[in-house]
Parts: sequence; C-alpha cells; structure tokens
Amino acid sequence: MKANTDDLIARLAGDLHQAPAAARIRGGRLAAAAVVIAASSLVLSGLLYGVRPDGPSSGWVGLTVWSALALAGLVPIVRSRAPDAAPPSILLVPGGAMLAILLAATLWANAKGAPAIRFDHVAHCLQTIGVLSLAPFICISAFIRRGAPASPAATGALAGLVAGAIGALAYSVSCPIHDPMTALSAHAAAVLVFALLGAVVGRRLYAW
Amino acid sequence: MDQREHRWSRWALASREGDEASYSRLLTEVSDRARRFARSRLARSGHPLDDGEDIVQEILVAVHTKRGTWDASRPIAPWVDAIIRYKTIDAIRRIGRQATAREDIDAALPRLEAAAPVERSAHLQALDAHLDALPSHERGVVAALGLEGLSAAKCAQRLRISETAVRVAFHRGIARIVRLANERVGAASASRSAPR
Repeated sequence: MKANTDDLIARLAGDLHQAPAAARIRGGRLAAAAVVIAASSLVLSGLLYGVRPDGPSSGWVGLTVWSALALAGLVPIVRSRAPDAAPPSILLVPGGAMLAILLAATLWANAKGAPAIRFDHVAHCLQTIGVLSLAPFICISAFIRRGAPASPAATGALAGLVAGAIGALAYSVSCPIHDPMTALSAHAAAVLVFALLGAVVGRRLYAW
Repeated sequence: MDQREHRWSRWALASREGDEASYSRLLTEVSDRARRFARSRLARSGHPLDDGEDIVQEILVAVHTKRGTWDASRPIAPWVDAIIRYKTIDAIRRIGRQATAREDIDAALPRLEAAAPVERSAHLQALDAHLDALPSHERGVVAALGLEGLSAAKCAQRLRISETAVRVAFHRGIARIVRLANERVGAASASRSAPR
C-alpha cells in the first residue's frame, strides 16, 4: 500500500500544470461583487414586491443593521476558505446575540400591547426574504466551495446569515409592515431561520 | 521558524513555479506526518489500521486539489495539519458508517438470496463481490473505466468530479480489488492444503 502512495505522489507531482484557485482574493473585485449582488436583490425586491413611497419599512436602523451584518460577514467568509482559518464564530456569536435581542424586544413590546411580531408577518417575510436571499446564497456558496472550510456547518450558518441580511436589506424597501420595530423583528426572525438552514445545508454543501 | 516549516514552505513555493521534484518531496513528508496521525486516530477509535493508507492518499489528494488555498504569506505547517485533521476525522466517521452499513447488508443478504436465487458463474460472483466491497465512488469509477471502457475525462464529466479524482479513485479501487482477490486465493489454497 505504501508503494501505491508513492505512485500517487508521482502522479500528483506530474499534475502540477493544472493551476489551482488563487489563495489571495482581490478586495476590489470582492467589494464590486458584493455591491452587484446587493443591488440585484434590491432591484428584484422592487420588481417583485414594489417600492414603499415612505422609505424602508424597518427604518434607517434596519438598513444600517443589515448592511453592517452583510459587510461584516464578508471578511470571515473570505477567511473561511482556508482550512487553517479559525472557525467563523467571531461573527456568529454577535450576529446570533443581536438577533436574539431583537426577538426579545419584540416579545417585550408584544407583552406591553405595542404592535409587535406576528406569525403571519414572519411567515410572509420568510417567504419573500427567502426569494431575495437565494441568489446571494448561491453566489456565496460558489465562492466558499472553491475553498476548504474547516467547519462547513459554521461556515454555512455564516453564509445563511449574510445572505439573509442581504435579503432583509433588499426587502426593507418593499415590506408593507408599518411599524419599524415590528418589521425589523420579523426580518430578524427570518434571518435567524436562514442562518440555521445555512448550517444544515453547509454541512454537506461545503464538505470537501 | 522551525526546520520543517522552512523546508515545506520552500518546497511549496518552488512547486508553484512548477518544480515537480520539490513538490514530490513535500508530499512525501506530508504523507509521513499524515500516516502517523491517521494511524493514531484509527487506533484510538478502534478501527483497523489497514485503512490508514487510504486516509493518507485522501489527504494527499486534498492537499493537491486545495493547494491554492494556502496563502504564501502564512506558515504552511498549520495549513497542512488542518487538512490532515479534517480529512482524517471525516474518513474515520465514514469508516464507522460503512462498518454499520456492512453489518446491515451481511444480516440481510441470506434473506435476499433465499428470496431471489441467481445463477451466475463463480468468477462473475467473485467480481461482483469485490466491486460491492468498494466504496460507492470507487465502484462507480471502476465500473465506468474498467467495464464500460469510458475515458477518464468522460467519467469525470459523468460523475462531476475532477480527472485527478477519477484517476485516484480508479487506482485505489483496482488496488483494493487485487488485495481482495489475493486474500480470496490465499484463503482457498489454505483450505485445500489443510490436513483432513
């Protein structure tokens, strides 16, 4: 069997002419790709669900939260392609904590009698944000699959979180919910679901 | 920087310039390290050490196909160790699952044979048994290349894997069949020569 391994080494050494994917990613190209993906989702949201005349449903806070989450997720996604990179828990912990706080705030508002999260809102947002997150998730997955993430499930959760944030960002210009906090919480619930789905899918999809 | 890190990074950088000899040296040292790690993990998890060499070969293929993910500004040893760890753990999980599945098949086989007896020549039965003993991806590649006569390129296209992966799977599949056939011949001759 050791002879087979030596034979394999000789074959692999003879296969060096096939250029591997580059280790270093050009930041400019990545930023351009991120802008194109986010802009495409925004346009798709406008085409499919219309544009609100009075600004984003979740207010400027929502736009800031989702933009920050999507942008902050890019760096660990790029890093996760290398097998020796630390697991992307750096973003998952604050991302998860932030979403949990948003949900807790909604439940609290609900208890106080303020307009708050409703199951039909969440179901509707899941569906629409899911449609808008699909293309970003496919793009992110194609990028990750060229690498070798050491934690496919954690990387999948991160990809779901970022794709969901892009979807929520895009949908906030169309969402018909009037109360910003309600919209933000419903979108947060949807993004949390996509992070969980991403972990399940990523475990198989990003295995190498 | 320790000696190994210095040596490996020098060889890896040279291999990026197409230096096959340096790359071969790097893979040889990686295979030694991978072999030690795989065998220790196999022993700890109670699996036969025979599977160690298969794991080493999987690690080498992963190092080769994912070599682009090594950033030359970072040390190479942690990158190699991460691949060794990931592939070994992955392989040991798979071996555990296959062992369970094999036990299920062994339990079900007599019942299936009794329900649908098939008359086939001893040679074909032996070939089928050897093919069935291969992991599914190796079985698919050996059947496509060895029985259907497809080229490596067409097989890679059909199975949606790289040509390198096809060659490696075929190479390992044939080696496994030869080993199984030798074991079978050895067992048969031992039973013939045994005193009655």
